Formats: sequence, structure tokens, C-alpha cells
Amino acid sequence: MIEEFSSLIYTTGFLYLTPGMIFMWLIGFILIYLAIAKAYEPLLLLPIGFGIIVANLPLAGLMAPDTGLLWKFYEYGIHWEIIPPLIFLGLGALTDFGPLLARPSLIFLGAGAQIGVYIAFFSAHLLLGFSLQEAATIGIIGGADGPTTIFLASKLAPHMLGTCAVAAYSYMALVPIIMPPVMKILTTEKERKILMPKARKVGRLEKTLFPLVGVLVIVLLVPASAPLMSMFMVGNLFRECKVVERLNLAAQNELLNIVTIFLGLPVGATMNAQNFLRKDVIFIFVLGLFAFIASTGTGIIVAKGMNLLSKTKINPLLGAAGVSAVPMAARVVHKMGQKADKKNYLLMYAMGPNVAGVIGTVTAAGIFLTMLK
Amino acid sequence: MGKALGIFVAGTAGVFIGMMLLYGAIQLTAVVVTRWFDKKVEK
Repeated sequence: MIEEFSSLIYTTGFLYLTPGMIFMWLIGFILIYLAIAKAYEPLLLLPIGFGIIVANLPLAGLMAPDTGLLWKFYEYGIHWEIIPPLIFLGLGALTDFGPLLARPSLIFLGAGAQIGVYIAFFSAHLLLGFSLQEAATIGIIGGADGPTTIFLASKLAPHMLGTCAVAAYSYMALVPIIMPPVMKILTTEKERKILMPKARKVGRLEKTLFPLVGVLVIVLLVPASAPLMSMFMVGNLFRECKVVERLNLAAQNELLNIVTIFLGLPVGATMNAQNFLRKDVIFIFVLGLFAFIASTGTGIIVAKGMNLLSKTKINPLLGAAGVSAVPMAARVVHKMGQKADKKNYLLMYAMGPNVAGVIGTVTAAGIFLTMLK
Repeated sequence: MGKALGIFVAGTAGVFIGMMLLYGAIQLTAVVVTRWFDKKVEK
């Protein structure tokens, strides 16, 4: 009887706990707390936090290659490029390109913010010795686009996937804290007061044609962006054509919600103590923050550059919305504009560079893939 | 460093070229739609 009892004890996980595992639980609990109590990106941080905890339970084997449940989600969902493109399908169905089509020049602000991605990439490689693949994965955090970060990390640096995803989603949640100081430093009170001219009305046909035109242009230029870009644009076509409302609603509700669950859990589960408790992780978080700040800054600088070249001035705060964190970045821009002048309604204008930022980040990720894979 | 610099330059240029092409395509679409198709709808 004693033998059976002792063998039962040896099959429990308690004896195999390590300090690293307990530390990872703490990280998981913090993310779950931030998601529930502070509503910081709860849709992703909550399943990621839970994924971290259960992946660090000894003997559970949830991430055991070939047999683990979360390993299967990861392998067939993320590594096989299924889930991030499906997330983009849902995002496309949720995205209104109207503000961008009404004022197409704002598209360059979405490109401007990507300069920060490349600055962070260059710094990570040159100053801190990360490999080119790792540096690209860190740099793309600056694009503030979670699914794109996960997509690129799974291709170029799978060992950094969990850390980069948590960094990306954490900074996206912190947009209202990170962006305003950068915006204040780079703009004057007078610039923040610039009122935007009234935008033209965009018809249904233009909106319906955009996803077709957009996918042709971007995928022809950067074929490696096809998985994300094509799903993004077909989702948007569902939305704008107005004849497949069921598909549109399914893409932006049920499908998006389901794939979000299957994205968050395995991403969190990639963060085991061995992968996470390294000094590199601190650098990844610091560089991720730097990438985010740099992207915000370069967006604003490009907006100011456009003002030098154009007679019609645009509010340079709009450049900050070029990072993709939709719609949080646009809201922060709107609030800053309102602080400077209560008559300044920037929200709809900021949505233009905001959605252009999504396209810009996917293009940047496609270029990294083309050059580094 | 050479390759990193190459990616930095090519990547930044690539994103801007992509946006320029997209800008052109949006403007062209707007012109075609407003010149021909919108008028047809009005008639």
C-alpha cells in the first residue's frame, strides 16, 4: 500500500516544480490581472496569461511536441500560418477604409510610422547583437500590430514568439500612456491646433473596389505579405460589397472570437521558464518600447515633412496614428487635438493613417520575410 | 552591418513605394468612379 501511495506521489507535479515555473505563473497571473482589473487588451492578454500558467505545469505536457494539446494549436494554428491570417480576415471585415479613401495622402503617414520599425530593427542588430531574424521580430513590435508580430516571429524567431507577442499587446494597451509624451515633444501647440479641412464623401463603389485594388498592388510588390494581406482585403470586401452580410458578420464576430482564443493560448504556452528567463527578454521589452516610440515619432516627422511640401497643412498629430494600434492610436490623437483646441475633431481623419498603418506593417513584415527567410 | 543597412534602406523604401502605388491606385479608382460610374448612377 505504501508503495502505491509513494508511486502516486511521484506522478503528481508537485515534486517537479521549479522556481522558474513559479515565476512564470506570476507573469501569467499579472497578465490576467491586467486583463481583468485594468482591461488592458483583455481579449489577448487573458488567454496568453492562462496559456503561460498551464504551459508551466510540470508533467502536464501541454507543449510536448506531437502530443501536447497546446503544441497542436501552436503547430497547426500558428506555425502553419492559419490563425494570424484568419485574424486578419476578421480585422478586414471590421475595418472602414472610408477615412483613408477620403484623403488618400494620409496613407504616407502609415508608411512613416514603419521607419521606426526599421530603426528598431537596425538598433537591435547593431547595438545589442541580436541576429537579423531576431532584430526584425523585435522591430515589428513598433508596428503595434499583434497578429503581424506573431506571424513574423513564428517564421523568423519562434523562440521569441511569446515574449514579442506579450510586448506588442502590452504596449498596444499602453498607447494612451506611451504616445502622448512623444506627440507633445515633437509638435508645437500651434501645430496641434491645425484644423483639418472637411473630407469628401466616399461612395460604395470606391469602397468596394479598394480591397481588390489594394491586394493587387501590395501583393504584387511584396508577395510574402500575401497570407495576411489577402485575408485582410477579402474580409474588407465582405464588408463593403453588402451582398454577403452573413459572411461579413461571421468574419467580424464568431470567427474572430474563436481564432482569438486559439491564438492567445498557444502564444502564452510558448513562454516556458527556459525560453523566457533570459537576459535577452529585458532587451526585447526595452527595444520593443523603443520601436513603438520611434514609430510614433517617425509618423509625426513624416506628417511635418508633408506640411513643408504641401499648401494644405495637415495636423501633424495624425502621423502618430500611423502605428497600427486600431483604433486606440486614433483616439489618442483625437484627444490630444481636443486638448489643444476643443473644435478640433481628428478622430475620423486619424482613422485614415491608422488603417494605412496596418497595411504598412504587413508590408514591412513581408519585406523582412522576403529578405531574411 | 552591411546586410542590416541594406534591409533598413530597402525596407523603408519598399514600404513607401508600396504606399505610393496604393495612393496612385486609390486616386485612379476615385477618378474613374467619379467621372463615369457615379454619373451613370445619377442618370
